[in-house]
Amino acid sequence: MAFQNMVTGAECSTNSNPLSQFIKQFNDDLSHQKDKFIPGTERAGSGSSSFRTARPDISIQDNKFAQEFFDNSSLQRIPNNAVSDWVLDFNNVHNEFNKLKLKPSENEEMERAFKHMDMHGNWNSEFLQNPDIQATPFVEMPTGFEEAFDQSFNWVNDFELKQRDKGKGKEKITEIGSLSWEEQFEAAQREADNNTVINNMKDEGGLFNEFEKIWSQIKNDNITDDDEEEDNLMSSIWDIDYNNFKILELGEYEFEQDNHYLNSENPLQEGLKLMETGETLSEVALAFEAAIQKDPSNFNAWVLLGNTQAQNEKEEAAIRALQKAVELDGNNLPALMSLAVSYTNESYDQQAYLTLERWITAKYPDIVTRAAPMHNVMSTHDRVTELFLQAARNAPEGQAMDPDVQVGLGVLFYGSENYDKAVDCFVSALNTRKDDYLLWNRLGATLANSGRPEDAIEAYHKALELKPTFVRARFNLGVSCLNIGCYREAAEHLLGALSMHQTGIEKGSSLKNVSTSLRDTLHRTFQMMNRNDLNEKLNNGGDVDQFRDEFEF
Amino acid sequence: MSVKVEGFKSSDVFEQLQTSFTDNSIKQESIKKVKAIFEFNVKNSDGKEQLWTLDLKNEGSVKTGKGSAKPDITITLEDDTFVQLASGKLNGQKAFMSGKLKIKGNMMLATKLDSVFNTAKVKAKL
Repeated sequence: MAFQNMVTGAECSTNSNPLSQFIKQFNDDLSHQKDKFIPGTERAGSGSSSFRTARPDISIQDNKFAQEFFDNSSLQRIPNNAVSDWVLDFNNVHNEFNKLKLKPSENEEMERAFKHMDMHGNWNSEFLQNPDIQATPFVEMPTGFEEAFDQSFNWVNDFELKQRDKGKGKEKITEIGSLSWEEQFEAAQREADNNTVINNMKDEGGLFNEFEKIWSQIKNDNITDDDEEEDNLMSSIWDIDYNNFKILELGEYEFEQDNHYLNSENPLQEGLKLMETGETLSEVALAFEAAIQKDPSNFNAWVLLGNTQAQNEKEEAAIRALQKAVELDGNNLPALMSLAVSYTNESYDQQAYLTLERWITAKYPDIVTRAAPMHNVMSTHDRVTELFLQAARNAPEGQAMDPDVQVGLGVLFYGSENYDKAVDCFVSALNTRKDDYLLWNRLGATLANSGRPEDAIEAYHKALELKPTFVRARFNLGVSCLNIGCYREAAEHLLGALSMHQTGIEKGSSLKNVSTSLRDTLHRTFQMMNRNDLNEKLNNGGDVDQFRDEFEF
Repeated sequence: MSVKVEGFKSSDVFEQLQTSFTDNSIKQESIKKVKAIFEFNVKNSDGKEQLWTLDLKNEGSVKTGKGSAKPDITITLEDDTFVQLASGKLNGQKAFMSGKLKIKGNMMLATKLDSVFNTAKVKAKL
């Protein structure tokens, strides 16, 4: 801790700093340091002695001075802000000094005294280079005073020591405080403008955040304390990690058989045309499959196929296709973004964040990637989020933010279950892209998962208005209906979605890419309706038309 | 066996939980995550009380009334609060802070409530 060294180091030890001495002398708690300052043995600088002789009654002044200083320092306000707010407190103290209103002669005296101390201003000036400090209003203070005051920063150090004495509980807080202070200092040295936003984010929320921190701490403590079940827990933690680290090998994309688009002259063109005319996504996907089967290196066809399958609620097929696309072109922005979203849906968080990182570095190569020392999911998430925030901040003044960056941030916040922020991101992206049905659905899904299914349903309807064949939005609509207990509506939406999976392929031949999520959810809905007869029908195969006499879809 | 009890909105949630546990993978995952027996003492607007036991330690089951084993935590709350918790409109810590949950037993397990309800829900997709 560089700062601490500088403060406690021999060069600027408190011996030669009269102001610190005042503090020490009138502070009972610092018994561990007091022995250095036995009356009579003080070897304060010449400035200090002249200071004393010149004003015999200064000790009374001292007393008031130091007392005032302490009364107004942040000691009384430990719990919330700890050391990280010391700059603020420092200003308060400054103001207090103003109030003392030294007489001009006293002022002069002080100034002269303090100027003697100027020799060890090394860290001091370095410290003052910190733009944060410079930005704080140091007006109105006589210059010498200010310098001297900077030197007396020992109190920050004292403050820490004092807090530690107060026992275990407080110690934690101190550590958090001084740690974030340290971070701030480093960050400020590195990049000033970067710093402020991060700090603001940290400070947001206040008390409740604090509580949340403690709560999650309890949560963690609880995990580690549980000895007898530790083995089990370890294995479950391992599972989670494994899930995040395993290289996602779903294998090659599997094409449907008997694809009649293989006879088509230009299946890619045909697929695009079908998409425009509002043909079901399953049909469109077949056309793109055929295009790829004719030319496996057709990058565009892979991306189109991946996006289509995702919208068609066939996530696994979508991931396979998009992985192939990214393999062909690792810097294609839409492919990377779609892949990241698909990974997020399947809870492959680590992969999702790494894919987003590729996206942001491909789009904004200027943004520096911080080296990743630890490959755990949380740190990856934080790192990538920081990159996106940086890109967001770098947007030129007055110009609308890149909506894609907003979407990326939305996905990141969604991944960390920070749903409110994710909603904000998607909403602001929608401001520039009102007709993006994908975005409407993403907004809806975020709302739904944050416990607002009613609002979600509105967003899904908007998406379906724009794109009636959007199976995923229909599936999500069904899920929301299920979660709020409207089982009949849920069944109808899910059946409607399933009916869109019917294609021109001969009935009875088994499909390669099916949507298990749709069927599972429908199964669950029937269960909730206490209709096992319907589930039997569903399991016995056959198409969804058999439900048409009971449900409208 | 149905866990539905007339007059309680919560009973839908318990039914959903029960239904979700018919999927073995969801059941095993929930047990792995939670490893505890919850007893819910729910009061409805008519002042009636009803017990449900959610065993996510051994069986992965939902029952009305007391379970065979001793619960690790007993949570007393109102019907509406339960529904809000289950739908994610209210989170466990806020409910606890505002005194809407009365807890007996291992209090730390209350922090797992959110994940209990989450596993039972089908997630929407981006």
